[in-house]
Order: sequence, then structure tokens, then C-alpha cells
Amino acid sequence: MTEITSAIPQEQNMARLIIKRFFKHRLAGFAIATIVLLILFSAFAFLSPYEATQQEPTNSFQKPDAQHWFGTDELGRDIFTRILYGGRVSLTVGLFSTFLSIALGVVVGSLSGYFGGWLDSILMRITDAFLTFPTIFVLIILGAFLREQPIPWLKNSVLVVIIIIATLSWTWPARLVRGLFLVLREREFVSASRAMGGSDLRIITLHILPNCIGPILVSGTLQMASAIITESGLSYLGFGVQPPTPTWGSILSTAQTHVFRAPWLAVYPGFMIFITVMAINYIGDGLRDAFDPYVIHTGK
Amino acid sequence: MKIKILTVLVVLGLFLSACGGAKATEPAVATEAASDGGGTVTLIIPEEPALLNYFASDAAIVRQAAEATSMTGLVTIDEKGEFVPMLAAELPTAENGGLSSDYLTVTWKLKPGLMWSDGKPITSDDIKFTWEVLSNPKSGALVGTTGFDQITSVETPDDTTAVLSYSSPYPGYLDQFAYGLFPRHAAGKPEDMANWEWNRKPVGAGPFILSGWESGQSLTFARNPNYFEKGKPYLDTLVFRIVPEPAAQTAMMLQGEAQVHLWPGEVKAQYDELMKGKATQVLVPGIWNTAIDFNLSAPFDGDPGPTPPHPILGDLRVRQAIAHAIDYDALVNDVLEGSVSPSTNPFAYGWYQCDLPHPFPYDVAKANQLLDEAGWVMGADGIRVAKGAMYAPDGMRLSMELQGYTSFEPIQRTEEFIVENLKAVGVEAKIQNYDFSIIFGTYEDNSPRAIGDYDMLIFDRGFTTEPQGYVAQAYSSTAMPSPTNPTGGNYFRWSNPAVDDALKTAGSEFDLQVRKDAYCKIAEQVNTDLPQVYLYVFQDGYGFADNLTGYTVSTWGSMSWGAQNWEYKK
Repeated sequence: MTEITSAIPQEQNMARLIIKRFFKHRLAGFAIATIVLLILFSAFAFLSPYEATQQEPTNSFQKPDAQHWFGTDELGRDIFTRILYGGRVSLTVGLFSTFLSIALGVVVGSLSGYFGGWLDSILMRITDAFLTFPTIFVLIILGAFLREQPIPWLKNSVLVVIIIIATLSWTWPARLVRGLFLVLREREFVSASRAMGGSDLRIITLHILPNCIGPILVSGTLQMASAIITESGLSYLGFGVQPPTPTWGSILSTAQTHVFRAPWLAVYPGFMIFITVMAINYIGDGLRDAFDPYVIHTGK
Repeated sequence: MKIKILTVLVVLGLFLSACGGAKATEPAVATEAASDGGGTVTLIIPEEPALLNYFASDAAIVRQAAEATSMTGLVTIDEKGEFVPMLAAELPTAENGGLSSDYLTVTWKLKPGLMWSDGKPITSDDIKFTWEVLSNPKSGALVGTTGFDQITSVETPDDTTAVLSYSSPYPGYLDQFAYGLFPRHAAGKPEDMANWEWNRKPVGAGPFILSGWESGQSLTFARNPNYFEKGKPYLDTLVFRIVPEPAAQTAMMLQGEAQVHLWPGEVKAQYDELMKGKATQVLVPGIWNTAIDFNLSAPFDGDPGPTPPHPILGDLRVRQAIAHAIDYDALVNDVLEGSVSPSTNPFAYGWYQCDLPHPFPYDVAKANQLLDEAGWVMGADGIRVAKGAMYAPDGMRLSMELQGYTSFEPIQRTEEFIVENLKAVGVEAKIQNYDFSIIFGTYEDNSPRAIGDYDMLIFDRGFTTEPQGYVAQAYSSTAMPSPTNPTGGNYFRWSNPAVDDALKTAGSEFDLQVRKDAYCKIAEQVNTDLPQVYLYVFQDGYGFADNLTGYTVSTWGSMSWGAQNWEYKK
């Protein structure tokens, strides 16, 4: 009598399964490495022989050479060093504002989608209100408010920038999560859990939310890209990081005036933003593949 | 198969429409090469003027476009800074009796047969109307009103004569009508000037009439057939294209899509090399004088008045030290590559130019010594800390905010350079730039300089050939902004009786030498009390295509000044 030797499927740790599936997507693995590299470069920016604000006006607009790997800018500052330090602000703002935005969005969306009824109506109307405000006006009013506070440098802190960007963008994950919850709360595992006496909080966090992680993460990666760009636009209205502190976006916008004469001023920060955004997008791809149970993983 | 063909057709259609669309937005360029004139000239401006009424705005961009249509007045100021009659038959002077011997009556005579752009005649009643508008405190006029309150009455004995009676002699009587006249029949009520429809569609005496305004895109002007100089303007159309990005502006000039470029971002050497054969940049000494303003009163305390004094800047020695810390030569020659000329006091050009040396030249050692004397000791992080300072509590860091306006890269570069200069002597300056509308906003808008919420402020200001209006508002001790005087311009909260006396002299004497001496006395006081430190004067740069001729650049003009004389050969 032949034994049925089919192995009993090993109980795999869900997390490990997801991570394994993620790295099957080779570009995603490469993208994670890129982001980690960027973060390391920015963190160790102080190893550069130059300071971010060290000027040498007689040596301005130098082409990239051995002394200045990326050349010098309009005040003779080393662009490579400024890009390294600039990464600190850009990456910090990008990451944290996205986290905050998603956190807010998930809370609002999940409550709204799960409970429905009047709570849903109120929360969605608030969301709609945020969506219809023209961004510029919100920023102007906020700017006027912050300027009136007795702490003059409040508006410069990176924290304020993070909060502002999160405030402008939390509505997208909110709507997304609400939609997902509306579908998922009708599923059998929810009814089963309820029948077993599961509390609402338990159902939301332990049962439904994990199923939403895929789309939430993808949305988050897209938002991070736009957050990096928005950060440089905010300084126009007096928010956020002021010169001479470098950020990729501000170096890029100063470079505009000189683009015919010194194109390398624009190429390098633009390139950094580009690879950051691309890396994040590929991570998003990988995450989607990893979390989606319906994708066929062909062990590429 | 069907879907494939459909896809190809759709893509082809999109492609063609994109090309077609691009062509449609190109300005119609004149095809005639005849020297009889005609043609369309495209001018590039970096931002959109909110309106075309020069008096209703203090944004420099308004004049750039308005000068083509609504700013032709009784006289104009030529490139030598002299008054030249335009709508007036001649300049009223003491010699021809236009100016009475007691200086209290001015008689203007219009040229015969003048017409507004809508064909109605220009009469002396329009001169009277202009006075009614600009002397009305509720009109909303932000510039050009100086001295109109000294005109007590305007008589119009006939259609071409206006007799103005002044309550006290006003030396700037010619300048008052150099920036345009208002038509009584086509404008509105004097007290409502800020809201006139005329502001967006002027009826003027200028060489061109507004024919189209696409907000965010362009303003188009057509030839004024009723322009008073026969045969002019030579051109058919002017198109002002609004292009905020400097690189896009330069690209347009390179491709010949535009012929006039306002304030190119590149310095002249680079620009000419880039545009060889197509265009050149013409530099003319400008009027925009850049200085750092100090707030002599305590900021951010909810009180716009002059007391209490600023904890750091209240001490004259600190201000002197800051003045000593700036490397003026490197700023002009290296940072700004010679695109500006050095300036040492408020009166850096024109008939009132005062030749004064830098009161506190670049001297880092002296700056450090002064700060030590003033009770600021060097801290561990390279920034000084108060210890026995005049107004600051012990332990306060020598850290201040340097405000400026955004979207003008040379100012930003200047700020960054100054921050480094100050860091070298232990002064921390944190740049805080705001949009134009905030820096130059009103008291009611809580503009920082109006309500006294700033430490140091850097910006450039320009005088016309008649500086009295601006200077009185900036330096008079009665002109500090406050709830009862929201339009006051003494942002530094500076009070100096010698200056008040000199202002009175300059505002009432007719002898230019006497006035100039008074202004130079004010300049000396500015350089002694140091409410401001002057840096440089911007040169006005205009890019002109080589096939555009007949233009004159003037320190006192704008990009479209003299457009009636332009000729264009495609």
C-alpha cells in the first residue's frame, strides 16, 4: 500500500510569505536597495569635505570636475554636498508626510466604511470639503495664520511642512479605504467573527484592514513622489525650508534661471528626484504583487 | 484588425491636433518685409498684471504693459530724465507764463484735435477729472498722488486750457501729469477708481488699444488709429505673453517667437553669446535701489509703534557692525557678476544723485570689535550671545530673520551671500522669503513690514524723477505705519528731526540744487543712523531682437515705453 506522501502544507508565517514574494519581483528588491542607499548617503552627508552653505562666489558655475563631482552652483557651493544634505529634507518630508497622510486616511476611511450611516455621511462630507478647497487658498490662509503667531520661525520647521502636505493629501487614502471597507465588511469572515463575539475594533484592525494593505501601500508610494515635489513648491509661499538650506526641489527651481548656462545645476537634483520616484513606484509594484493573493507568482 | 486601425487613427489624430494646437498659439507674425511698418511684436513678461491702471497698483509689472495704452499724459520723461511735452502743447514754465511767479498757478494747454482711443475728444475737463480722482483719498490710488492734495481747484476756461491753483508751491508739478490722464466719459466715479472697469479695458491716449486679454496667457493690443502723433505707431499689434519660467522665456527669444524680453535671467555676456545674430540684451542704469531695512522697534510684539526698541538692532553699534560685515565688492562683482552697480545711499541716480562713500566699508575686524563692545560675546556654535548688551537680556542669541520676496533669483542669491557674511562675524540671519503680495501688502493684510513684524528686510525700491512722494512717506517721523496711518511707509520706525526739516525743504523749494542739497542731507542722516544699509542698484536689462528697431531704453521708462517708435522687419 503506497503511502500518500503528499506533504502536509507547512504553516507559513504570513509575513515571511509576503517578504519572499516581494523579493521575487527583482526590480522591487533593487528599488529598496536604492532607497536605502539614498538614505545612507543623506545621513552621512557630513563626511563631505564641503559644507552645504560654504560659498565661493569667484568659483561659481564650475562644470563637474575632480574637486566638485557635480560642479558648483551660482554662489560657488559644491552641488554634490548640497544634494546629499538636500536628500535629508526631501526624503524626510516624503516619508513622514506620506505616513501621516495614510494614517489619517485609514482612520477616517475605515470608520466611515465600516459603520456607514450618519458617521459615513459626516466623514465623507468633511472629506469632500477638503477636496474642494483650492490648495493655494488653503495655503495662503494657513500662512497668514502662522505668521500671526508669536513664534516667527514656526513656519519654517519641517514638521509644519509635513503636516501641511499630509493635510492636503489624506483624502485620497481615505476614500480608497472606505471603498475597500464597504466591500469587505460584507464578507463571510466578518460575519463569522461577529458571530463569535468579535468587537468592532477587532474586526476592523485584525480582519479587514490587513486585506487593504496592498492598495493602501500602492497609493502611499504614489503620494510620496508628489510630496517631494510639493515641498519645494511650498517655499514659494514662505513655508518650509528657506534658503540657503538645500532641498532637491529648491536647487531645481533656482537652476531654472541658469539652465542655458549651467545645465548640470538642474540635471542632478532632477535626476535624484527621478530615481527616488521610480524606486518608490517599483516598491509599490512589488508590494502589490506581494500582498495580492490572486496574482500568480511564477517564481521569476 | 479593426481595433488596430482605430488605434492608429486615434493616435494620429491626437498627434496632429497637438501640432495644430501649437501652431494656433503662435502669434501671427508679419509676412510683409516692407519698411512701411506694420507687423506684430511679441513681448515676454514674467507675470500677469492685475490691471492696466498704473495708479491702482504698486506692482512694477503693471507699468510694463500699461505704458503701451493708458499712460500717455501731458508730458513724459525722456531717457535723459528731462520732461518732454506729449499731449500738452508745451511745458508750463516760469518763462512762458505757464507757471506763475508765486508758483501757485500752473496753466496747461493741450495740443489741438486730440482724441481718446474711442474717438472722443480729449479736453481740459479730463485734466480736471484726473485731479478729482488722484486727490480723492478714497480712490484707492497707490502711487502718483503726491501733490494732488495741494491743488485746490482746476478751472477750464476753454476745451484746451486748464488752470490749476495750488495752495502751496509744489516743485513736482510737471511730474504729476507724466503718467497718464483719465477720460471722464469712459471711467467711473473718482472715489471708485479701484473698481473701475476701465482698469481692465482702458480708454487712453496711448499708441495701442487693448484688443484681447487671455488671463494667464497673453494680452493683445492693436494699433490706436486716433494716436496723436500722425503716422505712429508703426506696428500693427503688440502681444504680451505671460511666461513665468526664465528658461522658457529665453527659449522663446532664441526661436524668434518673441522680440522683447523683460529682465532676462542671464547676464548680458551670456545672453548675447547665446542669442548671437538674433537678439541682444541692452542694459540701462535702473532705478531699483536695493537695501537692507532694519526694524528699529521690537518686532512680533503686537505693537507696530517705535517703542520698545529692537533688542538687537536697537543698538547703533550692532547696525554698524552689520554694515561692516558685508563684502560689497564681492557682492557686486562676483555674486551678481557686474549686473548691478554699487549704491551707497537712497539717492543713487537722477538729478538728486548724492555721491557718498560707503559709510561703513567691508571690515570684518571692525565688525567683530563693534559687536564685542556692544555686549555680544561669541558663543560655542559661532553665533554671538548677549552679555551686557544694551537692550537684549543676557543669554539671547544674535539671531534674526531676514525677509525678502520670492521669485526673483538675484535677490535670493544676495540674501544667501549676506547670510554667509554675517555668519562670519557671529550674526545668524535666517532667510524668510514671502510672495510679492505679502511683502508688499497693506497694513490691513498684516504685511510684515507694515505691522513691524520683521528684523531685517531686503528689497529694492525705485524713484521717478520726482522722489518727494516716496521719500516723505519713507523717512518722515510722522509716516510710521499704525492703525491710524495704515499707508505710512516709515517701516524702520525711525525718527530724526533733521530729516523732517530737510523733507520740508525738498518738498517746497523749486530750485533743484536746493532740493538736491536737502536730499543729500537726508542721505547723510540715513548713513549715520543706519535705518538702512544700501547695497546696489539693479541695471534694467531688456532683451531686444535684432530686427526690432526704433526702441529707446530709458532709466525712467519701461519695456513698452516709446513703443510708438518701434519698427519691425521680419
